[in-house]
Amino acid sequence: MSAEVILFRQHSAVLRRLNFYFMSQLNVVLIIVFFILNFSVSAQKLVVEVQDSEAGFVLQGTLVKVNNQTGVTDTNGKVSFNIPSGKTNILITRIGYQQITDTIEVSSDEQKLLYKLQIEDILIGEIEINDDRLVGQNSDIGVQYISSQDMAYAPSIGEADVLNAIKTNAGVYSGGENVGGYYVRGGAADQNLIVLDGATIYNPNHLFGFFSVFNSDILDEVAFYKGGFRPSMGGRVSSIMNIRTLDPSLDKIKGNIGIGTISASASLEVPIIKEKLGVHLATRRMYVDKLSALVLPEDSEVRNSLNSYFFDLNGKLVYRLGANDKITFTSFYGQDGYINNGINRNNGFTNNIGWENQAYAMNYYHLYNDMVSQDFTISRSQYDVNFNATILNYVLGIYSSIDEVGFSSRLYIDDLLPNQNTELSFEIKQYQFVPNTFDIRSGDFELNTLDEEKLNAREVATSLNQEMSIGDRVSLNIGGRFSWYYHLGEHVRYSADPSLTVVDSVFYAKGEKIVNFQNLEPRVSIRYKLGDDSNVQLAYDKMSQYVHLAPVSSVSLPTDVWVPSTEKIKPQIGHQLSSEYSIEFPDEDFSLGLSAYYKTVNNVIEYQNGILLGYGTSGLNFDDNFLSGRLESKGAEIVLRKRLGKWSSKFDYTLSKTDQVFEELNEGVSFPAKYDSRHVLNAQIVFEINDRVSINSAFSYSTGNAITVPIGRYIIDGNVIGDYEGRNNLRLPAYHRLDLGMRLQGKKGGVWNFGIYNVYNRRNPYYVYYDLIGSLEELEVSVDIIEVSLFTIIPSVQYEYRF
Amino acid sequence: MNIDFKVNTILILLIVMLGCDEVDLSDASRNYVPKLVIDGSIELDGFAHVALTKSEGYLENLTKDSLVRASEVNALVTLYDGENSEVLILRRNEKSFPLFVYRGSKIKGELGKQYELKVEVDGETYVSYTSIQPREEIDSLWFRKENDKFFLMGRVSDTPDRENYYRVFTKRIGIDNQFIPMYYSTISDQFFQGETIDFSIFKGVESFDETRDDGFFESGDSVIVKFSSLDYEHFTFWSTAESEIYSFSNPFSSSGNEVQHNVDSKALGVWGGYASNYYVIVAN
Repeated sequence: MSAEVILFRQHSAVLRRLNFYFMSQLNVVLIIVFFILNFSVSAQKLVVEVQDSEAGFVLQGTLVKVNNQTGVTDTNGKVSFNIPSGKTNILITRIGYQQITDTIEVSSDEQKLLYKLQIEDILIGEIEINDDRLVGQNSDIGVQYISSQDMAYAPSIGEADVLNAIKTNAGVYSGGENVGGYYVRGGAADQNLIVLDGATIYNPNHLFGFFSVFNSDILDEVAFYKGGFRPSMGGRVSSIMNIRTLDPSLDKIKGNIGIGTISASASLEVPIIKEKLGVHLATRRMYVDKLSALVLPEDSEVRNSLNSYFFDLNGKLVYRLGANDKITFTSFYGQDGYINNGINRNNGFTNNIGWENQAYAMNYYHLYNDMVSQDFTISRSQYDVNFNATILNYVLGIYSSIDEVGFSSRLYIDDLLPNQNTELSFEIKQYQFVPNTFDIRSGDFELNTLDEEKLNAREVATSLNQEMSIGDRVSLNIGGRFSWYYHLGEHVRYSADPSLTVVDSVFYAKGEKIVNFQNLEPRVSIRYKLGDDSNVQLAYDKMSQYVHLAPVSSVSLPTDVWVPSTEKIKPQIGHQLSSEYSIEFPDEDFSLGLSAYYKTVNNVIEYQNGILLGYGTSGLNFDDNFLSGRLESKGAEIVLRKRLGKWSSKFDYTLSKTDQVFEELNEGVSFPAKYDSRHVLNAQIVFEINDRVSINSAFSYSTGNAITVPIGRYIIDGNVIGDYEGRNNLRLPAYHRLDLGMRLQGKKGGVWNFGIYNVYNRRNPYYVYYDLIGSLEELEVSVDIIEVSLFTIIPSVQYEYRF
Repeated sequence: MNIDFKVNTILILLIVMLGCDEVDLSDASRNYVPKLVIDGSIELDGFAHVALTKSEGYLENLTKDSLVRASEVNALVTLYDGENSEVLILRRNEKSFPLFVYRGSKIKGELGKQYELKVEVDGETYVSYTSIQPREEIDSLWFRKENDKFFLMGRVSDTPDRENYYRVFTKRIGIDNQFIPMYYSTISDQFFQGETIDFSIFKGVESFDETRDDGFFESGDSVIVKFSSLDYEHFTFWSTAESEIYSFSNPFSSSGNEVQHNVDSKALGVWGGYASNYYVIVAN
């Protein structure tokens, strides 16, 4: 099939779905692509295909390194390179498989190679820290792959965790204590897209953020982007984490059991029809609630009143229809609960918070021929939070949720034009939001809060990306994404006077368009090979984000509320310019990456006043209390890897500055973002004592968060009230912590992990407040600053067994 | 290639960069420019009283000297009800702080009237307004006994077709020196317009230096309940100020609470009119 025919067919298929407006945008992109084509120069092409040696299925997402070029296999298990003829070194690595190295002679115009990888008996335990994965040296410029070693050696309380590994990367800030969200290049926690097999995950945290919802037993590939975004992905302005779960073994039963100090996990892979159909199940349960029942006496107040737990279940079904077709079904369910039945029962206060994540995705992969493949995904994601509190006869319930149903398809065409790969995508998402809905009762009387409001929205996006090589030195990704967004009825918009009396209202019928936005998002990244060992790359990304997480409190909590873009809340629009220089000396086991970025995001949101409508709030619509502002962040990042004998080390350092401007806040003057951390350093050192025993250490340092404290005070009616001048006007003291771990690998598949979190028991302040001591009556009051910290030294032990 | 040298240089640079970024609040507190603080009220059938103080840097300790310095005693305070005006007279306060208070003796609060308060001091003029709203009633009050504690409950039938804003105070006879606002003392009828509602009355504390106990009453307490109507701006001050007072130092509280003062924008504080009804109930 000629390139022209494929292009015509795909072009037609896409056009059938899209309206005239998009056609003109797509044509503009295509014209640019063809213009660039004229400058292309051909080189020898090498196609590498990777398969599982036992079952014979293709291995998507395998890292292949050819001389100094690195690529990742696509859904067909293939990756292609343009290289000069002559002696060529090939290195193939993949989590859970034995590494392959090979040397070949490249002579013809196109050469195809097939490699079959053998399963490695023990998955984790290798001591190398990413020494073959330099920053940005992948086919996707700007992507980083998180390996099982990264997870195993990242600081954690208990088990390996992918979010903890991501939080040690340069450009990513954990917010100090590993609690709640993460902040990428100055962006807010809601600006990170997290996708699990095609389904969005709205809250990646268990237990207020001590654990992520991702069970490391089921992870196959974790690709993390903080710049150089693929046009087929979007909807968030700061980062994308694309997680693919492990396909079950199709030939034999496999399993894994892990038992730790506070949680246990188990996973099982079962082939149902050999080489055809298999299922993978994994579950985890945190059992602090059960432990407290064992450890604490029966009449203990803590045991009887406080309770907290999480549970999650992952499932994946894979059906291989033949060599060219695969269907997978992924499901994820996670539940968290925190219950306080009144630690001091006499005060009549009880409180419980529960949140639930659900994600389901059906994926179909089809290979049309050697060069053309397509995938289709139908997904559904739900996230809901329930908060309940009672004080005597008052009952306060707050409920919020988001429900997303999506369809997407991506079409890959290799060599549509010489030395070029093309990716076309289309996606549609239908949302339903329930922002904070209150149920407030006083005795038998129910207060007339506004009825539960369901907000509907639709997001449609289509993209084109052209990946090309120009000569031996230049790789280019050029493309764009066009996105449309509609806020739809049924909906009522109120106008109210300052005392919140309705003066007018507009009713929108079901499905009626209330407001719409559209954005063209160009994405360009270019890599230039300076020499055999070094690269320089540049990327520009425009990103738009139509859903927002409204921060209910000054710290990131599961009760934060997802809201859609509306007439009042405009979409967040991000622009980022980033550059990277990377150098590697394989002989000396040393690599260095230097990056710089500049990012702006318009229309970031903040709550102006309380969350309860009518209590000091400014309107009757759910979005009347939002303010919109602008975020600006700039920074430089250093990533350094070095290996010396049995020692491996990894240093990630970020120097950055992030400011925000809101017209209505701080008198319109720019102020630092809460998570503006000037210096963030993460260092890890691993010492391999022998093949089975290793010791690892991790050190984190970051400039303290900016918090808002009053600088003046006044007394009214016996109360001391703060007078604020300036937002985020105080820096908490710097955060630092050292963790130690030891890994013992048994001969028969068992692994012991011992860890000490916060070895030198640093009391890192989580927040500070003022305490007033003395009495007004005595005319003598002194002011103390009290620092509150969360985690002291925490030892942990975990045993893991694979079969 | 001397890689080790490079690595060391970078590490040294990093270490030098670390640790030079802390912001100290004590300077900001020391350089804080004090503002005039107005704490004034006028009751239906009562005279106005206005305490004037100055705000201070937060980290400054409160001492006898500083509390004396914080009292504003040189102001000209004028009350105007739309027809008549009166200059309020500085008197010694019964409470220890503020030490002095400006009191009226001619103009009494009247229903439906607006009151202008003008404060002239140090070459600046501060003008604030409030009004007196219709007096509203509590239907009934009762105690509920649980675990030897007395929970005070009230029932109110909201006047329909009018926005009502309430504030509730209690005073234990023979124990409290003054009426103390209940815990979260403001109520808006937004959620029960024209309906009847039961509500809890949690005992508040007189001053910040008292430990906030469980909010309940003891057996034998004779309690006077003061039920006051106020206007929207006056209500907004107390609801936002109490949010700030009760949630201050709690990082999990709602973000961005800002006290909405109802006095001249150059000053801080409140100038509020009340129309109150009083009830007595004994806990037993």
